[in-house]
Amino acid sequence: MMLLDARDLACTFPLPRSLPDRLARRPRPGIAAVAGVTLGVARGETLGLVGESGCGKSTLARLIVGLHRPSAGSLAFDGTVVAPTVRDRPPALRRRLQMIFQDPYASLNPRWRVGDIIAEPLAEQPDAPPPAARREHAAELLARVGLSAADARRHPHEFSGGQRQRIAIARALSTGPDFLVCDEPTSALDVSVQAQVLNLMRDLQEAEGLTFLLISHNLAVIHHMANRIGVMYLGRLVEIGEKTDVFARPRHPYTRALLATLPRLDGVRRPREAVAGEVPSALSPPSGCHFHPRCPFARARCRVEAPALADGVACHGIAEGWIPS
Amino acid sequence: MTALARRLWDHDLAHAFRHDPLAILSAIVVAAFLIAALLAPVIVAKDPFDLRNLDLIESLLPPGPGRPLGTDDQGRDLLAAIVYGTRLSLVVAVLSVVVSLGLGVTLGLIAGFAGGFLDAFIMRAADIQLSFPAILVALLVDGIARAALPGDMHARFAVPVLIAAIALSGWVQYARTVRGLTLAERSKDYVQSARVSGVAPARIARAHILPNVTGPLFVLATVQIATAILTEATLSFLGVGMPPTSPSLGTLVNIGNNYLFSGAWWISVFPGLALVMLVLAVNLLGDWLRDALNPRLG
Amino acid sequence: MALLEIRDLAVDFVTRRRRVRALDGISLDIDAGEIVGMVGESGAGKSLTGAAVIGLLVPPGRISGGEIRLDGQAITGLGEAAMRRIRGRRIGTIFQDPLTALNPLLTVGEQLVETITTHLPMSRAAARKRAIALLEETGIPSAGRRIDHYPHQFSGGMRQRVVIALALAGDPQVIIADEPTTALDVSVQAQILDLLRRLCRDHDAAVLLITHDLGVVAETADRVAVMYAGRIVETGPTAAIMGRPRHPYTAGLMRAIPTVGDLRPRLAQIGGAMPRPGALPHGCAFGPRCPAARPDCTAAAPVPIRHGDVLVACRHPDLTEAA
Repeated sequence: MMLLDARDLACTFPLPRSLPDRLARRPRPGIAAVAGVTLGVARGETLGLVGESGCGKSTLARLIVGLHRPSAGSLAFDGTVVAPTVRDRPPALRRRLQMIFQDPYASLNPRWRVGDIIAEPLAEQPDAPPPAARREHAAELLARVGLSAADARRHPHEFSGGQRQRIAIARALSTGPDFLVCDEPTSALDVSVQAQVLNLMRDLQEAEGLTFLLISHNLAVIHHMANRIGVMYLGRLVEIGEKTDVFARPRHPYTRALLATLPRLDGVRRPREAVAGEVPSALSPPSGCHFHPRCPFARARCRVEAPALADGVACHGIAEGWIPS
Repeated sequence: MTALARRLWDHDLAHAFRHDPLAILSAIVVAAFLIAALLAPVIVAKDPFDLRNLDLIESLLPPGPGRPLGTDDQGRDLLAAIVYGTRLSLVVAVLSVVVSLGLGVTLGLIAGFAGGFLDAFIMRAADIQLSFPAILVALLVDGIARAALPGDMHARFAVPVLIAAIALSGWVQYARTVRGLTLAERSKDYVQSARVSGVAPARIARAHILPNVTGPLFVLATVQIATAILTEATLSFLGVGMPPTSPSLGTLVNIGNNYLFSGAWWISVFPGLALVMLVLAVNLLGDWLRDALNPRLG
Repeated sequence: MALLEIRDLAVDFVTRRRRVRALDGISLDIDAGEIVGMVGESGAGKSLTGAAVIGLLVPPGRISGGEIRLDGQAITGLGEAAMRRIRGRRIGTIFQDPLTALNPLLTVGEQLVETITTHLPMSRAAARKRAIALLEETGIPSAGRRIDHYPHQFSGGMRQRVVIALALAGDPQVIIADEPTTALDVSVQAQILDLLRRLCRDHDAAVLLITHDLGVVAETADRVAVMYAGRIVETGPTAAIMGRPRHPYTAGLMRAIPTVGDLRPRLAQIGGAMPRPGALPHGCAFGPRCPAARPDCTAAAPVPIRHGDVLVACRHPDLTEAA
């Protein structure tokens, strides 16, 4: 059984209507940031979600932890359907489901001491231990992420980016969660620091049996960390599968295009086939399959009908066999 | 202790202060007024507000020995009246700024954080208030208080009424500033992170956002103190502020106004000069503080 | 003689309390038609080097030593007016964020024509023709129509093409590209890097490509300069450095990056963090983090030593190669 199960999850952000539209009672326009995503995350695995800007991966992360209210679909955690927003969820669920944010310069309150930042999620639990025990717990967590207990008294600005992300991880771990949503956890960090943080996440996963939903635009990071990967494009999941399969035999034309952009570090230059065009605006996504204007294989059907996810890929050409695998 | 003193001395702000003669001069002037106001009973032998100390025989005397700035129409020594008047003006100004700061910060925080109807309601109220001149708002509050309180009560409650009137005319600035800053902070990830952990909205506003939006308010408050002093003086000059029995600087100018053309120029001129010096110094200090802090306001 | 020569460049930050050396002993040559990638982590001094070359150091930063020569002529001592004539005309710049590099209130055509007529003796009509040609060259479809659009009407990748056209407006000999693809999606990154390489070849320009991304350098640059704590630690042909890093920092960086196909469960990590300017350790700045450090590494900052095509500022490159 999956630890986390999302069914047809969707989130549309409403846009302001102009006065004439309002008077004419036209429906309120919106951006479909996530448009019907179904996926499951198994206990103890890392599901990597990859995609370019506007693909909805961050919105999906926020839907899962309850920061946004989904406009459709449902979410189940450990077999039970959960309330859509974090305020409506029981504390016991909040304790199990935590999140790490992209920018450790923004995700830690600059006016708070590190010890208080780390202890806050625990302090919000109804059965929170007394302050002295929380301080002890915070010191323990600091040690576990490679910082010292004395750091609890300092403020975030006294730390480097990598250290701050360690603090953010310690905070997320304070309630002893089993599921961590990690939204671009290393994108704001330098590569040598990125390695430290990724290794730490790995170690913690092994030690505590954590389950990760890892969101990144960086294919190499996803490849390094994930067991399975999902590829998103303009609010839709276009391909999902075992990491080894997706990287060895990408099926969706967009996945192929993404993989073709991967740089190689050996300094031997190969011609790389740059995919044409750019991701269209989520304000006015193309009809049918969102990828069709950039797809070298697109046919008439792709322009009118959105493909459903079948056997891990959402593509007419794959389903009907006219795109070579 | 010495380490703290050294850190304060070496602080960029302290350094900038030491290298700005105008800032030092303004600070000295403001400090002189503050000390005079605080130590008024020590400096002045006779309390000019005590009716028993008034002697009409000594009224309208020009500056001379024993009365360096002359006396007013009630025979009060003008220097004493200015010292006590400054005290009143400062008390009213500081307290009214504190009250409007509290009011503005609370309303701005609620508007920015809650959004929706509350935001629209509070900010429209602010817009409406801004379309009246501050002095008109203060006159309105004073008028209502005057109508509500019996005649003799009004004189006794002059100070709180003035504070309320000036505070109500000044909260909008704070509310707008705090609302804008709150909107920016609200979307930051540390707030989202608190939400993920189930922190209640009221606590997020108070414990997370509030400490991050107060910085720029100190500069604003300094400048507002100068404005409040002027508003108080204007109200008193118009005869709706402090009564002649316990005159503030504005009241003294008003009293003197009646005798300006009969030769007793000193009654208006000396309190007026004190007022100008005080307001100018506070304003200069506020401007300097804003410039000195500006790079770090972002 | 190289088109752009940087010799022993030093940049200091002078504050009232102290003087901090932010760049030290930067020496680099870029030939016409060559892309040199300057790579390093944040705070290493790569953007500062770019700013020094275009004469846009922000106070309290100032050049305190060394020389920058453009086509044999020293430009380090030039005044602001002379530098302004060089910027845009002989040195073009491309910045990270295309949105802030363009004026949102003017059409891209107005901005291009303005820049062209500032630097080249041309009528406005001729300048407009040149502007359209530049937009076409940078890959903007229907340039004749798009020239009258405002920056916000372009997508992120197209906007960066406009910025590149703007950098080319004065037909410069040198192009400084500071993180030109960092703000872009990966699929667009590849397009922009391809464009940069084509322009470098067609215009025979010397390009300094500043980036934190080793992948970008590997795909684009002919030569690489690796920066650490205000110094160049290793420089040479891209293939030579990527294939066989000799400096322990370069080697560590390469091993710290996850790559597709690499199945290590853990990445090699460099412990600690890069020291800040003004707080550098004695001797080699990388010493305290270096797995191959020896007692003599604390003696003095190592001078670059030539190994074939590669210059390495390390006393014991053999230890890194053996690892």
